[in-house]
Amino acid sequence: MSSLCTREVVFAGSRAVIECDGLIARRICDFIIPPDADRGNETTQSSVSFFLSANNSGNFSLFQNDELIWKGTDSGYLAEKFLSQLCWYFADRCNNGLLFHAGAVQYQENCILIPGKCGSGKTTLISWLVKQMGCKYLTDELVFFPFGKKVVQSFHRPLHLKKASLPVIQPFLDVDRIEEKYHISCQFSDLIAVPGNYSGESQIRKDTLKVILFPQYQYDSSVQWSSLTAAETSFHLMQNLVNARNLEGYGFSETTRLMNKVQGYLFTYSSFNQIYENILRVIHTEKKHT
Amino acid sequence: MNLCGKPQARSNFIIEKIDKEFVLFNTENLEIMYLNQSAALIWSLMNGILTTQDMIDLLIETYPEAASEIRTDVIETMQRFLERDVIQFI
Repeated sequence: MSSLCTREVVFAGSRAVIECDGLIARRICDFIIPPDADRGNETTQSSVSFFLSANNSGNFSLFQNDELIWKGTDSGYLAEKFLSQLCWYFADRCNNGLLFHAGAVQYQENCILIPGKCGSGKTTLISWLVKQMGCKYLTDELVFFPFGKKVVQSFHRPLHLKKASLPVIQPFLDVDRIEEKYHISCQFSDLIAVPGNYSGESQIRKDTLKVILFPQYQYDSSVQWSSLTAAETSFHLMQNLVNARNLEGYGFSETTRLMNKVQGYLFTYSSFNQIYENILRVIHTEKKHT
Repeated sequence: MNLCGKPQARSNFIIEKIDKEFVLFNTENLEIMYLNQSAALIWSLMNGILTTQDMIDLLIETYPEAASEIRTDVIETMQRFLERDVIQFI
């Protein structure tokens, strides 16, 4: 395997070109942006370049637009840093649609959106939905609703599991962990992992979005489950719109318009057993609002 | 609370009505507020002309069966609006 490679990924109106030098740098790139990943072919308004390098002494560097933004010796941290910079760039530049900090899975034909701030348990819930409920994985980080189009884009990336979530997710962990498959250290970083059931899709039809889940994992809590009105769903979703400052009217009206055919649920839980029945019911939910 | 004051919504809000509820977006501090049906109804009455007491009277006239709760509801809602700095009295 050559230690040099170039990749390109297009998402939310931006293009990223990634170059790698060094075997581990290439492994990281292969892992985060697989060679066969759908790169997208839309017109872009901005572009960024990244350069990942790894030398034989175990030193790693990450450049963004030729500027050194990180160097160190932990390959897992390099992967994590690169992934977060890439997501940050897409969010920062996006002005042609609604970009939500949200995960998404597909169940049969329907899309389930899972917005939430860091630490709310998005990735943990997604891992469980994929493993236990037969959902297909789309993303655990960014979902894009381009203006004037009938599709939704999910940012295809490996799961980013916090180490603190491992006790919860361990029984359901059906993933290729970066350490095991790609021999990349995660001594100091969080775990990045591939779920067993990738959808393989990065674009889905907007009208397949039926359900929005707002999870809040809380250690040792009893379950609290609420069906939300359209206005409540809009209120919670708006708080996860990461590119609001780039949009006319902060994207507020566009966000509320998404609520037309969607049912939202807000829940606090400490174990999957508490929410199993409700999740089973809602993933079969059809249109609630008319 | 002075019931003779005339509450008026501040102008720095984008308002979306969904069914009978409102979601407000404060363009100054970027905060979002959700108003349920009764809070949305109270919000709709704040036109700078009606006093708080006028609003209570109007709502009791419209919903006489809920007269006992309306006064408390209006005052508590007004207090929440004031705490969030979304209204002013003129």
